[in-house]
Amino acid sequence: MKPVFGALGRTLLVLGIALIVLAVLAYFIKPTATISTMLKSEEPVDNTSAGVVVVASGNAEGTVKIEFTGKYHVVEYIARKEAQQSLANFMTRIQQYNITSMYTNTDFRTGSLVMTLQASYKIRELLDKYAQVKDSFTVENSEKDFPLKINEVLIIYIQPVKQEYLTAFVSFYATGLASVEVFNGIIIGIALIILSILYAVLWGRKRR
Amino acid sequence: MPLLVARGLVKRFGSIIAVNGLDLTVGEGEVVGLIGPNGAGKTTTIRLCLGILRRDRGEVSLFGRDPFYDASARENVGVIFEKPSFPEALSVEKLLEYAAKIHGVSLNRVNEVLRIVGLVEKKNASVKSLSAGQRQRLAIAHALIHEPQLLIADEPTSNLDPLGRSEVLGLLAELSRDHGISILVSSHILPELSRIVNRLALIHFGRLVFQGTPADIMGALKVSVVRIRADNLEDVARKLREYFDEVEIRGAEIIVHTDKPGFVYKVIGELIDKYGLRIYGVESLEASIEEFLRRFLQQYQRPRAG
Amino acid sequence: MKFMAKSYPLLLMDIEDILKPPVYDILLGIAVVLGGFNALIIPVASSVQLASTATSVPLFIALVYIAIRCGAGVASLISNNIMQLYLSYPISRLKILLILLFTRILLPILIIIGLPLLAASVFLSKIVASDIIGFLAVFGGRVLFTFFLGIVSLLFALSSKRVGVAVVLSVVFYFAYNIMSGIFSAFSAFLGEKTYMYIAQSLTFSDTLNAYLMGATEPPLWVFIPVPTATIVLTILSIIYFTRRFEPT
Repeated sequence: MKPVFGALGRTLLVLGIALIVLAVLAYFIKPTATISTMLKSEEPVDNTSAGVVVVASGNAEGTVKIEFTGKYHVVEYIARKEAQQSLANFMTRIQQYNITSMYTNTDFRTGSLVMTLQASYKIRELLDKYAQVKDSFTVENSEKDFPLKINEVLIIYIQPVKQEYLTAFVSFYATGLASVEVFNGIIIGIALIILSILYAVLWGRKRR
Repeated sequence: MPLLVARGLVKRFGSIIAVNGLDLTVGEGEVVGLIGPNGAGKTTTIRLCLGILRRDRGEVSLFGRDPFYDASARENVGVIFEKPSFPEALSVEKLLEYAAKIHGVSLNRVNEVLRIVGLVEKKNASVKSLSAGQRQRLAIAHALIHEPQLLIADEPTSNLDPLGRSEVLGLLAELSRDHGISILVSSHILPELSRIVNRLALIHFGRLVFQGTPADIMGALKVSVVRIRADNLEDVARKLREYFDEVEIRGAEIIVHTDKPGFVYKVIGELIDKYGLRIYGVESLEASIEEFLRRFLQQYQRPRAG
Repeated sequence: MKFMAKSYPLLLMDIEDILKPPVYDILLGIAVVLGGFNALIIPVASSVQLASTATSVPLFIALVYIAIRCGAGVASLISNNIMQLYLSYPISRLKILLILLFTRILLPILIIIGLPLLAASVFLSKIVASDIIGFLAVFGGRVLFTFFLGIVSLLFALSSKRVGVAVVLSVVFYFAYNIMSGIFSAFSAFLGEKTYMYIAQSLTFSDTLNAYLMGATEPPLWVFIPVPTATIVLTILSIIYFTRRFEPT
């Protein structure tokens, strides 16, 4: 007489297997967020709470507009949880370069961060400086329970789009795995599979 | 008090009047046969009586309640639909268990009804795997699970072979006789039906055109059928038409409708003597109810909604 | 629970029919793995983001499932005469409809959207714990939005009574609805008129709710009224239709 799983038993079984599959995937694949597209906005914005992760290099002079796009929730995390301090640090650091204004905005609808910098100094100098200091912009966890760590920010590409403008493609390398509770998934997954089998064998058989 | 009373039922489907002012009652202990050709409105009438369809006019009282608005009217009713359908994923036993729970009866009834319909060995089989006959028996078991006072069966034999039909009708007769269950059963296989019913209601184009006992119908039908097998059908038929009004050739036979079957034999004898006809057989048949229907219903035309 | 005594077994019977393997199992597996994976692979920062990310793929699966399976399921109940069987039981039409709303719409939604969330929560329990109300609000928004499309599919199925027609109408409605939302967004972009954007946001109810909960947008509150209102109105309409007009033929 074969065990009878029934709808509930099958649901538990599928959920258990899925949890284990997810745990394996989570173990091997690091959650990363890569900024891969750019978005331009001509509008200066008044929300200055965002924008931290800026390291760029280029050779244009004068006013530079740097645009970032990315996974908005990462941006938001930085912006809302960590950015204030980092932004302050950043602003302090770039004071010497006489950055005259800096506008940032996060557009959650399109998932983008737009940052506009205006500097009176040679931007190349500024950018070179920070491009070399990778840990300058490390964003550390300030909240212990928070699982996401933005370890570093890497510039992957930079390109002048107009004479005075630079458009930056920036990559965030984020690791969040440290606090993804992989073993929770495995343990609960195995527990659910065992439970579904017990259910099928004991209750399901009895029904027959 | 009648268990089911329908008065002046009217049901339209677009321009077609499926049921047109029909009256029907089923009393306690009665077995009423709803007969009529295909499309007469039998199934629609049954669905109206169960409150499954919405009537355009008229009244239905099932156990004193209107079944369209009051579901409790169906509490003491078992239903067997034509081409019974059940959720395919369920096993026979599971389906009957659910039915038992819905009707609030003991799960012991499952084995009882399975025994009654002879499906005990199929109780773990899935509904999907059942043959048409087994499915019909399951439908009967399902209808009987709560020991209903009234069983409503729509063409319960339509999917079955002759042996299966006989079994099902036998079962219905037994339920009425031994358990006192009232039955409303529809069919177009009338000779079979006439064996188990107390009363027949003949409907056609949604109207009740005749009501009475099977004997009433036979009495009303003063026509016998004589079947003749002969060598030269055309020739024999032509000669018989000189004596009888209704003579027709059906396949390899000549059928004579007459209220004097004895006279057919006499005429045949005379024709053999006179013309040397080669007659292989003459058979007098009890006129079937189909025959009655055929003749009776010729008078009616399908009315249209205005 | 006496009022449920008769209808509860029918509810279980219908659940067993709707959850029959293997379609349900495959779908569930895909939804859980994709939804959970999405939540793990994309770094999320808050409970609301987690819920939103984990349910984005399952939401699509649920919408397609509802459009196809709810419409087809209820229409095939009618064409296979199972609905006639249900209506022959001593259970009121209202209860039968409520059963169908639960088994054919709500339950699949809860499973397809809820289980991926549950899976993601197992791995990121601390995030979930940081804002359970926001987490549940995202879940509720997703469920309500899918239920809205489900009730439309149900009405198509009840009125057409044909599997093919019900499925086609449901899918067409689903895509037309999305296109309509896109058109309003485009209007907003071209004309610079915010009202169009708000209309588009009101149509994409659950996404707008998520963005609002994340503080990404602050639309006027009326944006959150049309979909819930339409859901309530359509539910009442389906009850009236089913209890007073519906015929399973």
